[in-house]
Amino acid sequence: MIAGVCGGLARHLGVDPVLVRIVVLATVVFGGFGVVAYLAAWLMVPEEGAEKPLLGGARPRQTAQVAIVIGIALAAVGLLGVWADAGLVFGGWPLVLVLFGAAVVWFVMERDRDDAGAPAGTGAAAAAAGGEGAAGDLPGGLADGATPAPERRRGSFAVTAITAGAVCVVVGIVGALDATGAVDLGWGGVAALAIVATGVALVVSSFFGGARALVPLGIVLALLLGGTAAAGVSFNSGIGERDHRVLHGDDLRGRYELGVGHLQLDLRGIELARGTTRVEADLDVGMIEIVADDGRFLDAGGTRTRRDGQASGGVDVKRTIVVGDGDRRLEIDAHVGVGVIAVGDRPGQDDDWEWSQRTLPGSGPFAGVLR
Amino acid sequence: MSGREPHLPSLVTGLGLVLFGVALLLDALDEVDLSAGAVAPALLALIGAALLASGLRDRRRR
Repeated sequence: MIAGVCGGLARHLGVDPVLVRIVVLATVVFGGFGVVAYLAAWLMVPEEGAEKPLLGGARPRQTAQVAIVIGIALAAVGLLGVWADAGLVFGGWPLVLVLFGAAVVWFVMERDRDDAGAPAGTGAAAAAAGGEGAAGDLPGGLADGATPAPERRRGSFAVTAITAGAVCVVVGIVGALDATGAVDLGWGGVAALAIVATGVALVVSSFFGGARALVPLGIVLALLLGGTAAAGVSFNSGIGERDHRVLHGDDLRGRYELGVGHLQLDLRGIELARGTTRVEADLDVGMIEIVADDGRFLDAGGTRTRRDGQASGGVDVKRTIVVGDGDRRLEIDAHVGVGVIAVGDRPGQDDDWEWSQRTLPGSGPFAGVLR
Repeated sequence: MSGREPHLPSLVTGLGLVLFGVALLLDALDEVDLSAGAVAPALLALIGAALLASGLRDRRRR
């Protein structure tokens, strides 16, 4: 259980909660819509016994209307096929982010506006004063006006929510521009802009009481994105398994790339062109496997050995692998953000890998042909 | 804008994130080449500054 949405919905519908959880899980796996729907329900549906939902509880009718509009918009996005190929994360995420951020900002501003009109001394008025404790800790419990408003606390929930929502909108717009080709930042650039936007939002919010919850979030964001950027991970090139079998040097591409998965370049029997040909193989996370006939590896640049070849693993791994003979050479500049670069005379299987700590050269079947 | 002094942890962390994000942006645009050895100390400095600001604020409030 995360936020109790499935259980609450099951009680409301009078069905087994397991059934609801299975349906939600299915929508999460197939297209990712369930993630958005779950978050929306968590934010907009009040908890059992509470009068207000997490966001926008002051006017439930308008909340429902906006929820319907957002739902229709998300469904339209899905129907238009934005998510069709790669699911939520790598497809329509900018639009989802913009809609989600805009909804958060709108709900919080509406809530504050309504609360500002409430009589002084009520819980609503206290919330309008920007107090985190007022808005977050006393949801609807002071509507009778009998209890005095708690002291205003700085670093309000409203400031945090609006700041986070604004960051979502900015990052979503930049991501959409990048996806449509209007700007060319790549995943790393968009992620960096997300950190910059979070920083700017935090600086601005500091003059309005501060967005305290955004401080750890910003640091976690920096840790995750900084780590991936340092490893050279860009996540721009898809997920899965790509096998490239090349028999003629003229058929070689200048660059082979993949985001996450297994990228194989099978060069067995290749007829190389005269001179030196250069190609790049770039993978963010996973394994690059270069396969060529025994004896044609002039340089494999490995640091570890396995039974049928050699491989280098770790973070930000860069190796230049040379295949060929005589005056016909192919230089492959291989890069893996997080994972392994492997070479061998046949495609490897999972049970082929027997890692050892020995350092090349000096072992393995290709040791004799290493420079 | 409130007339009170700014919320120090938000201000310090925000400034740190802006600097860090700009560095990552330059890396993404291939203007600089950041390595794990450069990023890790910067992240530690950011976390340290945030903790320091938070501690200073708590001390002032007491």
